[in-house]
Amino acid sequence: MLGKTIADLEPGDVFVPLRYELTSFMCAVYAHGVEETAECYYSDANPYGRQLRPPTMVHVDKLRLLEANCDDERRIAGMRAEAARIHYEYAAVHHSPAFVGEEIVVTGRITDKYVKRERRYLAYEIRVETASGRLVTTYEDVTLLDYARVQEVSA
Amino acid sequence: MSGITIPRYAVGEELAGPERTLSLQRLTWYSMGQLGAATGVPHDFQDNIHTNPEYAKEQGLPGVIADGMHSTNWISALLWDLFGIHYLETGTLRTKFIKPVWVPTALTCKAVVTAVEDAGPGRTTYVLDVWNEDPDGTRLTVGDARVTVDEAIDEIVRARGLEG
Repeated sequence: MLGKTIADLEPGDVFVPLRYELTSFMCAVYAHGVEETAECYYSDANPYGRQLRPPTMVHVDKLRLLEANCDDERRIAGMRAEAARIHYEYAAVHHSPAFVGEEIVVTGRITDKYVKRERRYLAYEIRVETASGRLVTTYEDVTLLDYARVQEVSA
Repeated sequence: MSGITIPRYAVGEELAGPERTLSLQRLTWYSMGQLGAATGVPHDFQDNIHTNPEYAKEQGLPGVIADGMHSTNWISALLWDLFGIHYLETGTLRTKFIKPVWVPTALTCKAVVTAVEDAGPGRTTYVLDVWNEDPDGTRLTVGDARVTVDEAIDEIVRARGLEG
């Protein structure tokens, strides 16, 4: 637990890693939320014979890391900070699928924080593996910390 | 005998998904899906800038703004449609939310093949520009993707199945 809001995070901050078991419900409810039709996200009826998660679910791993590490802004629990965060960039590399029943290990750190066109941005690097050490996804993310311009925030 | 399709595309080929309107209803579905995936239990949608017009205005936004992951997921679905399991095994996807998607907006996800690279025996890498656009053709999300199509995909998938 880093004990901060998301806006308090700084380059070099390393998240406390988290582990969880990937369930059928997690994969299916996420896929359903974006109207994914690929059957592999809902059941074992696919060439692998194993249900797997949509690769974009790495973004949920980011939310999980923030929830576990930023106790002043636990957004999954419904807490709000002074400013809503807006996602700006997503970049994922798929190394292998993650299957239901596997234990997922998520690690991450803050790589950059900067102001561009009077707006504050935060950059993350996240790595997702299985407990057995198989790399699933590496992910980079940039988030706009507040929609209001920096000048207005400080005024 | 191969069971999984080996897709082939040419440089310059433009590929598109269906037009879908990103509505407030769809944003609430995504909120429920995201929270359910994060907690492992069913969730109601969250009250935030993606679902509550009044709160969005309090944050300086003109109205409800779509979550960028909605665009990313719809582009990802297009890549699944084009490459199937090859996308899951070797894909990369980068998306940048260059213009806000105000709700409702009709969106079409598109991709164009910018390069086809030899990735070794039986392997071909497709490089694509990807984006979504509104009915005027204005690009709201842009990015790129790479997928390596491997003719040995059946063996790769069979091995994954045995890992479990």
